Amino acid sequence: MHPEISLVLLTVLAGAGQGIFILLVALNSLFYGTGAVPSEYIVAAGAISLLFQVGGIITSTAHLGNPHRGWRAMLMIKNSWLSREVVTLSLSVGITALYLLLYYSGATGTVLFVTGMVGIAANLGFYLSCSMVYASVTFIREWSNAFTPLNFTLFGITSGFGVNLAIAHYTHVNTDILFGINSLTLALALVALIMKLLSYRFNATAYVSVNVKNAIGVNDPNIKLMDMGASYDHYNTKEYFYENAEKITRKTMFLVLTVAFLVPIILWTVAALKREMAYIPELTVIAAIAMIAGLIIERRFFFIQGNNVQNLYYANFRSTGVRNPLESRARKGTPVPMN
Amino acid sequence: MNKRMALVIDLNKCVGCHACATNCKAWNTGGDYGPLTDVEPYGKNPDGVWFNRVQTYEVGKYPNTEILYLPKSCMHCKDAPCVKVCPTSATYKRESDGIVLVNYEECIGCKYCSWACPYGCREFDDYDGVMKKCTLCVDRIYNENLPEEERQPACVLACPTRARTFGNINDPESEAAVKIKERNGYKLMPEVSTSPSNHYLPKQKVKIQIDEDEILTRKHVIVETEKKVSSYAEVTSDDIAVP
Repeated sequence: MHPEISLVLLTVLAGAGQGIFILLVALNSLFYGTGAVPSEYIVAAGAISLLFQVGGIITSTAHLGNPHRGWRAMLMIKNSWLSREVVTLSLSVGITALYLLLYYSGATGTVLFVTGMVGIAANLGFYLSCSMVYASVTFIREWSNAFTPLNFTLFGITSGFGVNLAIAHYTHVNTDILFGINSLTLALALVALIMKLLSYRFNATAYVSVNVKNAIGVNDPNIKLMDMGASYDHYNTKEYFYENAEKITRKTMFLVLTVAFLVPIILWTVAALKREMAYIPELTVIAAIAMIAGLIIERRFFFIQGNNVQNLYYANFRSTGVRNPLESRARKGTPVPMN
Repeated sequence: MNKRMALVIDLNKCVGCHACATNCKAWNTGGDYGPLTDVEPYGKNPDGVWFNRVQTYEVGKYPNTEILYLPKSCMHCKDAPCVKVCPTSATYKRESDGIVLVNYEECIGCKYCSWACPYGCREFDDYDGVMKKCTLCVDRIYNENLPEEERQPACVLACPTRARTFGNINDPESEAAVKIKERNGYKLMPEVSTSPSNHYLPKQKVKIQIDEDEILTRKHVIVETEKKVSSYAEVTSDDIAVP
């Protein structure tokens, strides 16, 4: 699939923004009134969470043909995961803003706790619906599997916690709490790395039951595309196919694993092993930026890996997994790969 | 039972002339569901929206190959995945005749429906910012301003080999349903459970039995004709009586 940068930014930024909110609510609920979590942290983390979420919404409108009608996307919550995504994201933004407002106006711990829990429910709803937008497309096997919702949720929460850690360093949060966040984020990042490796492995062997024989209805193992029915590339060959996929596959996988996971893991491990290192705020900022940047590359690659079965008609379909570098672009005389 | 309008395409008759595609474009770009925007139509990389495209495949190994022309437009699936995923209900399936349509006024252009379609039969119009697709010429088939014989999709009317049949496949007496039954009409990707309405009639190897006597008789006739012709040819102007 063509990597749509607006959707990449939406899923990564909104996911991280909600991860920030989840930890913010958890810390404020656990340490409310103790003074261990200063108000600067709540305000800064809340504002950055809002910024990430609103930034995601704004960039996502670039994907729409008619952004001024975007509100209509909330109408089919009963049927469409996309509709649920829009509703839960709007709810999350609203509740994050409300939480900050209540905190600022001096609401009681119970009110904040209840609001926070509703917000976390909306966040989890967003992770699920946002990932199911992709996981429910059964004709793209690389998307339609359990790794998609698990990874979207895990990566969103981990990156949010990572950003939180950096914010907490600059807002004088209690050092024990800092160490706790550091350890938790590190543990999540390790699980995320394992999940990413497992999903790469799954995608390398992913297959669908459809093949070109039943796509065009001819029982013959030798089928070649002679003419794709257009003078040049059109929507179907541009939207479902990424021209440079062969070239970037291995490099991108390496880049994702390094920038999104290994760099932050090393930095957080150093901080966890040597406690005084945890008080070097620059390290946590670098780790958070690396993880967000890495996840943007990861999400872009997630799109590129998506292999819609309609590519069978254009000889662009990969029979399994990572694209074979010898498999050239769909043009006249190109054999259609058999499944 | 509700109607289920569909196209039945005879691959044995299709000669890949693209007349269905061009007539579709010509009608629909000026019809209720137009325009079908073109980008750089005369440029180096022409692009544009088409409801119907004819793809050409070579089947078999040389020298035993044959060409298959596959005209492909929206299948108007019974269980249409594009309808289920639409977040605005802009894409809908009409209960009365099973036609899947897009309401351009409600479409936000998120392209999600096209991802969900396994046939690649939806195309995004960059100019209008909405998703467009075959309407089975819904603005023709019920149009009382047209003569009754012309109330058919533009592709059906244009086909020079009459490879296309349009009709209600839920009516077992309809020409379309009879053809599907008699010629073992099939659906594309039957295993993906979208239950497409459009059907294809498979290519057939036509075999005829010719008896030896028949060949001899025909040969005899040809010989006789040739003789006659040659005898005429021998007539010169001298033999013609001038009054």
